[in-house]
Amino acid sequence: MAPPAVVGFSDLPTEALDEIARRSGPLDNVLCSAVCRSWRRALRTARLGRLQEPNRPHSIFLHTEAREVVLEVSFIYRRDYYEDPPFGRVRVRTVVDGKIANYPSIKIIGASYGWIVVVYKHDDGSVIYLVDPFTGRRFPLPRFTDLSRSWRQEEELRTGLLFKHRGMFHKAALAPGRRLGTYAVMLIHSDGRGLSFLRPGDRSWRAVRSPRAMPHRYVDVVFHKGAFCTLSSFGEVNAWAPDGGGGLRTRRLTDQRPEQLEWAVLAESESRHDLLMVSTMDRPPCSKRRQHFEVSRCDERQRRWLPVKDIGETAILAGSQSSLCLSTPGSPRLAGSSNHIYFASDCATSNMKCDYGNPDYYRLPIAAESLAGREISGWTWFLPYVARLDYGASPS
Amino acid sequence: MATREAGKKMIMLKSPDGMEFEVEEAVAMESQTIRKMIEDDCADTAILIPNINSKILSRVIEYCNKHVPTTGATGAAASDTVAPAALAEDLKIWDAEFIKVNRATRFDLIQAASYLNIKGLLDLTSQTTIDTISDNSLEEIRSFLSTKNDYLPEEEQTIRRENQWAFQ
Repeated sequence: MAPPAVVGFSDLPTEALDEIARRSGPLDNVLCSAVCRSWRRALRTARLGRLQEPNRPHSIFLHTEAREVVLEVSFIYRRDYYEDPPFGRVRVRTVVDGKIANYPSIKIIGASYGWIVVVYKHDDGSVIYLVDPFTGRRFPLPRFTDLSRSWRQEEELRTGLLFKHRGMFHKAALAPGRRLGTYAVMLIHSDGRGLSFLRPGDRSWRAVRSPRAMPHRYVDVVFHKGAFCTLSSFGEVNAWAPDGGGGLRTRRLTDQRPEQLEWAVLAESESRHDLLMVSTMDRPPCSKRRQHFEVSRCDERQRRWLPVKDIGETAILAGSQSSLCLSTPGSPRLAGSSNHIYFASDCATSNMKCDYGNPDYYRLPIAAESLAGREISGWTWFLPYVARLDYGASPS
Repeated sequence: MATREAGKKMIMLKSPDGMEFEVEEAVAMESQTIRKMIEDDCADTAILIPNINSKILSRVIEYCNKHVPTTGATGAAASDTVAPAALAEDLKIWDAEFIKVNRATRFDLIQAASYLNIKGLLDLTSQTTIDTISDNSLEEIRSFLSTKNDYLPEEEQTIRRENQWAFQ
């Protein structure tokens, strides 16, 4: 009789390894990918197989329909032709919640690591969930009760307006935690005046104190180089990293600018080495008037934003809920979109033309020429998270 | 045995170490891989199951035998008299006992379930594995799964730097 085959974990078939990882909870891919090469490769292969075009950005639309909360995930297509375009077609339709009693307001406030952060506002308060757009799996975050008294009063005054523009919950960014299935969350709330942090595995939020009394607001947060980077409306960036004792340590990456930004978002560069900002000083234009947008790069040494005139073979998808930098040679469908910025409709430009699922674009002025940014309605940019194989290697 | 009635088609499964198992077609068809072979008519005689030794194969057959009436591909009528909830509860207890095996056997079972495409068994084995490592740190997961850290030191460093909370 032949001796029984000894199977080690690393020798398991790709599908089985992915099957195991998928059960671990949010941000599973990050820690599982770090265990060993074969698991990383398996997760990557399995997910690449499941997603027809994993490097291709998707847009997500969340709405309620017949007592169901529905997520529609579509590929992003470039808009070149006006004849019946293939873009915006729904590729995945996931029922997130099939038994809602009433119609809650729902809003996406972030997208990272292949998960989106969704706020349900019911009559009895708000609940924040992490949702996997491809499967509908969801995990509730601890209830957010850290409301200052003044904010609560303000909230009452503004009932009905909460889910417009900034509102109570503005933006959330995620980071994987030390234990499998756990995650850290940084949340901008209270119209940009509040910042709260959820430590991995914690059951309650902690208010984060600003480095000093800040007269301005937080407008965006992303996870970059192991820290949550927050952007203020005056262009100041602070990096929040764990201090080893369960708290947060902050470091200022850029100083304030003299003028307040009208609208700005952060995006990690395609190589993950740089932090970029897309911003405008212009108020939302009335019809026909065009808004000027700038791209800048965070220079930690000079502690300021350096203007970028040309983003080369990169396209930036900008949106208040998530912004992505994509290499255009790396995403064939975006070929020809180098040096372009695409906007999601949540951007401050409310008078712009809206098209369902149809990103319109803004071409970066290479010289001083300026062009208009456009937007799409109600959609959030989303990139499925697939572990890179080139971890540790310098980008080619 | 009540299930061994005349007229039930039997299938012969062979393990690479030379053991032969005679099972009902319905039981064998719990495996989508075997089902496909049967449906494609390439299973007239014995089916050789590569990579799965007789010890594991017999356990897989044991699992399929237990699960065949409830999934009810064929001959589901018998189970109609039993309350489905009670039956499901019974199966759950049985599954929990079934999966009480050592790590190497469990990996063998995962591999077999994956190759034979038996969804229930793959669910059971993967869930059990993830349950043992959930809420564990990277080092603990590596030791539980007895995998070697095959990253280069500089790669490991980058992974740690990029995910500070994950590795603090």
